[in-house]
Amino acid sequence: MKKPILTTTKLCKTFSHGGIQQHVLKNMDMDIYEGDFTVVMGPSGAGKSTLLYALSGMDKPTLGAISFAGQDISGLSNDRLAVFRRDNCGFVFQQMYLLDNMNILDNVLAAGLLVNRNKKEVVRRAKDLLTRLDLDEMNWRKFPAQVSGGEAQRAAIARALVNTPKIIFADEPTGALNSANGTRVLDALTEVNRQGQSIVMVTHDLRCAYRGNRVLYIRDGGIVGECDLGAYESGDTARHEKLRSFLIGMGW
Amino acid sequence: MLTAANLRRNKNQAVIIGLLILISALFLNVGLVMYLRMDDHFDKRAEELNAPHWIAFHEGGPDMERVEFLRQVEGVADVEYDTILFRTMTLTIPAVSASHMVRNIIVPYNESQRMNPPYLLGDSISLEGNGIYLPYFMAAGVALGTEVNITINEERFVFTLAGVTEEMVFGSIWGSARLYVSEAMFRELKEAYPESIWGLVSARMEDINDTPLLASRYAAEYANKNIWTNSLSYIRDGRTATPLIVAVIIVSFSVILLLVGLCVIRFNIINNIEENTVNIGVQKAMGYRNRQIIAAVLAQFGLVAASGGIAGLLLAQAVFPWVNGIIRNMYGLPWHPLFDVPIMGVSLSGILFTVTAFALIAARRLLKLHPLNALRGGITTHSFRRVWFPLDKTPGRLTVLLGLKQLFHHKKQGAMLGIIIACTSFACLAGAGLHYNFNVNRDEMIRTITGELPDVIFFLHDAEALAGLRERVGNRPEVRRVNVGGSTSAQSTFTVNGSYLNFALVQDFIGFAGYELLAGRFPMHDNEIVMGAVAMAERGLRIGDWVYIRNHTDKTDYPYLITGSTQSMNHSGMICVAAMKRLDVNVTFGTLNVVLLPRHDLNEFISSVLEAEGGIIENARNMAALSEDEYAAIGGIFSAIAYAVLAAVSCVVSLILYLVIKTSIRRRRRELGIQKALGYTTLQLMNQSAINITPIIAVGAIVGVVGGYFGFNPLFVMFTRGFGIAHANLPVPMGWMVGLCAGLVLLAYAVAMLTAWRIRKISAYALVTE
Repeated sequence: MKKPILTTTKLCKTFSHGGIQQHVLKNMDMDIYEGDFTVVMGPSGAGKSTLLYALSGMDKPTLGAISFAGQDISGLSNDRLAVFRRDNCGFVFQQMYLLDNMNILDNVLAAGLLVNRNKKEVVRRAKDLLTRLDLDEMNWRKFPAQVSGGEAQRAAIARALVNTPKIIFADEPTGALNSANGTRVLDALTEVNRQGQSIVMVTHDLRCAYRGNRVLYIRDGGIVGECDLGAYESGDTARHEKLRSFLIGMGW
Repeated sequence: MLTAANLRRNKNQAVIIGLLILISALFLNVGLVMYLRMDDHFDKRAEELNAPHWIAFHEGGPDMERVEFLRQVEGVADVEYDTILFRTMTLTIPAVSASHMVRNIIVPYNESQRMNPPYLLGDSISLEGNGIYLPYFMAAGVALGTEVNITINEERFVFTLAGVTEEMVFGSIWGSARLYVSEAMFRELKEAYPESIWGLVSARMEDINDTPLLASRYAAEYANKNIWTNSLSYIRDGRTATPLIVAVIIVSFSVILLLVGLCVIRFNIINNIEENTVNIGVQKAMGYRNRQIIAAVLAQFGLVAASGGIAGLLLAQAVFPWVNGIIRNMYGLPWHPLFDVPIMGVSLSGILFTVTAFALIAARRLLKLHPLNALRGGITTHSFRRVWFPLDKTPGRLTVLLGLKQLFHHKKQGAMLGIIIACTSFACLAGAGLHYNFNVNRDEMIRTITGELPDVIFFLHDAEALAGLRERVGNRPEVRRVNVGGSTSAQSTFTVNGSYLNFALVQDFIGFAGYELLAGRFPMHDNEIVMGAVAMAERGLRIGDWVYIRNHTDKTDYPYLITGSTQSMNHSGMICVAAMKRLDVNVTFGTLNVVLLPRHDLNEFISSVLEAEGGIIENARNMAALSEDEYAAIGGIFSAIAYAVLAAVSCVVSLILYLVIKTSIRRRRRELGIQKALGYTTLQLMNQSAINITPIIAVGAIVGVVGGYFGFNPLFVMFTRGFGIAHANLPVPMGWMVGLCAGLVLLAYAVAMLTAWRIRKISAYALVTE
């Protein structure tokens, strides 16, 4: 029996621009389970990213509740949400968002030292993560502008993992990468998930979605379909086909 | 079009730079007008009021012989004689808590008075009964009918303020005040105090520059009498000295503010180039020439400087009444120099030229920006070759380390901030130093400006009685030393090597503490003098040189050896009686200076001496109280300046920090968003921003304050050199320095935290949705 780590109840998010209201998320009830690699797909403007940032405490819902491991986070102040994020979440963005005035190692440490004051331990873990993500010592001392997109994204993954968060949120993590680099990033995320960390990833890319074990399809602010893919094994064509059929069924 | 776009985009920066220029223009205009126009204003009013060029007092009633003598002197245009009451008295105006202890002259209102006739400022009421007219410095702003108390020898007279007069000679705390009463009241006072009846002879010259000649002729003719003389130019120098020093300080401060403004402009231009590299690339790609883009930048800052400058100049007009208020006691004339167009023009042109030239230098880096690099966001211009404070190796708290990283990545901005803080804290310390030395502990200031100040001066009816009195008073147990003459009681003008110089006259130099002496020794023989260090430097003279002083009686120049260099405001040297006798065999003094041992009651001492020697002493002047009054007036001016500087510095530091931090937050918006996404709280990021600047502020403040500590005395000498000050050793207490540094750092931290409060508006979500 899977245990939910994130639960939403009647989740709504509305944006107002010049008096015009746009209801992006509408009464959404859903669970994200511990250890799952959950992929969120849907057409452009369906509310995928809005959902991701509401779930992660980056943004507040207009109505409804979000509970994380039983704690309601929807009413927390911005600062309490910041503390929640640092303690529980890791983020991987399409644009990486590394701090460009810090080198790669410092980018990871700037997140790690925020939670853990044991500098030696954090440094050791950061270096270990970077090494595991194929970033050698030479790369550690480089600035984000001096490494490739794939290397920067892997550094962002290391940053997301350094505090061993309970859940990682990834927003189109391969969107800005070429195929080879995209694969390496996905491999890294898959490996992380295998070690037990929960991942929620928003993507348009079939190759990315294929890595998840659960795919949610949203349209017009609500979940319209769900596909359970089971554990990922390299070269599993049946799984691939199942996903394709699901997405075609969803009108993708 | 480009200019308008630049201004729209940088509204806040434009406002802050405009404010800096405004404050600078305000100070510059006020300082320049004071420096360049005050003397002219004095001279103009002196002519308009037909003020005497020279005056002399003498004891006793009318002495028309003197008038006749003066009329015969070559170059004298007019002579006037008045009978006056001349004595030390305490004048208080309880309604405004004003108190003046001055040697005043009381005269009857006389419409036929030709020289500086009673010129009433504003309304007046009748003098009949107990009405009194007071000079402007005593009663400006006091309502007519207000009670005025005058105490003479513990007897109190109650008057009613009937009017306020404008006085050229007797109208400042620096000298005597002339009080007008009714004819009947004057008669009453004359009967009550017959020993205070003196004569006042006033003269106007055809050419005011010939006044020293008249003074010499009069001194030679009446040398064996107890005489008091003064000249209009000497009075003018005394009355305008402090305001002129203040003017120089104000101008210097405005230059510091302008430099600060220029630093901010440079920061702004470079920052804008970095922030808008792509836009500049687009403009260049569209075909804009470098000249056009730079012209837009120049026009932008030119407009801001012009707006701030004009506003500052207009605001300066509103500040002049306040300036007039703070210098009133010293200057003593109502002065409202509104809209001095030539000086306004010079101030504005100077500011505009400096700003434009500086903006041009800063904007020249646009020339180096290749369109292609600019379109790529100037990536090639960024260099990240050095990792400051690597987090894995540097010990310390994360927030502090991130703040330091930020600081070292913006070294030039840090340097600019440091220089600004150093300049402003330097100015602040100088202001605080003046305040301390004029208001808190005046001892060293008095020694520097006045030299050795006696506690009391006795004025004798008969100079012949001086020797006996000197011995008797000198033998009293409470007396530390007695001397005759002295820098504060007597002075005379000599023709030294062909030019006029004022010398302080002293009996001898025995027992002098030597505060005035800078180098060499006091004279020991009758052919020796000491000269002011500044006067010597201006004439290329050194200790050991000989100078020639003219005896106007036999028209011979006598040689004197300079044995030492001295300093004292408005004196160019000191000469003793023995040396004086070579120039005038009849020279005598009728004043005795007394310095008491510590912890003796001055008033008791004066009463005791008057009781014992009453017959020969005409008057006693409590110099301690008088100097207290005079220095309190000067101190009030410098205090006002110190507070104005402090307020301006606080304002400038706050504005600049606001600008720098706000700009920095805008530039780092993305970075701050990422940090928020990673879980940094608003408070942590605010602290990071504040810590980022705190070390610079601390270093800048320490450099400025230490620079101020070492520069304060040379600066003081520089400003007062024109008045004869060549050396100063004025103290600035360590506690004040530490307090100033700590205050600046705390102010900076508070402003930084308040400005950084806007970080709360930056959300991680906005980052990803932008």
